[in-house]
Amino acid sequence: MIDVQCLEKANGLVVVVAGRLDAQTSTQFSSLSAEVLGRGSKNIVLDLSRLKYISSMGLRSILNLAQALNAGGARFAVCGLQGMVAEVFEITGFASVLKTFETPEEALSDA
Amino acid sequence: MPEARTFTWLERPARMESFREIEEFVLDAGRAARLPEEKLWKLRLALEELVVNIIQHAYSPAECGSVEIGWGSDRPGEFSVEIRHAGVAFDPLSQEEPDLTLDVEHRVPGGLGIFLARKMVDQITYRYANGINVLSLRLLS
Repeated sequence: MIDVQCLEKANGLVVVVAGRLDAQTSTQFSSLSAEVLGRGSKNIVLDLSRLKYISSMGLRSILNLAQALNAGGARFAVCGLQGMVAEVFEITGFASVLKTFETPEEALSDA
Repeated sequence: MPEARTFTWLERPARMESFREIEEFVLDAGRAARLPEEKLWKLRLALEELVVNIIQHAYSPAECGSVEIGWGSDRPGEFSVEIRHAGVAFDPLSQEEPDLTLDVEHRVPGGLGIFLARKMVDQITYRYANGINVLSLRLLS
């Protein structure tokens, strides 16, 4: 239901999330987030281009990750918003409170 | 008095394990009623936000409460869902809207789910009668 892949790039870490981020998968995402935090990268991009569905529980887990990274002095951005995910980010204001980009390359190089 | 309508119901324990079945029950009916793809994800999101809220808050952990979901599509282009439970009386529509302009540091997650659910459907009402909470949703295609 949810698949998370980490890509270590020269200038940061890209976390690709595929599937659904909802009430049933957000706990799983949160434990994967802890792993991401443990890697200690200071430039992290969440690539949501393969995410098909997100609910408030999913938004909450992304917010938790963003807050933890900010607190640790890391930079956090999201990219690849499309379809219903883009619409939910827009409606809830997440698209304007988080740094958003089209591609992981743009998101990483903007740092 | 609500108008007479034909509804098909599913009753399940108010627990997270029930959610996938509840979702499929409603979405299968939505597909059969030929709701467009956009209405289907909106229906799915509204349902998740409202039903998960009931599962988490309607009953105390010691209670073995249940939730009932019904759907009806009596008129073409119209799809209705009702969500009922006998837990604590709570009108989710009376909640204040969250502040969507706060930055990442100051964002508090509460209230977002109900806010989203309200945005997803064309009409939503709440009533409480005889110990039962009833949420009625309507989607127009």
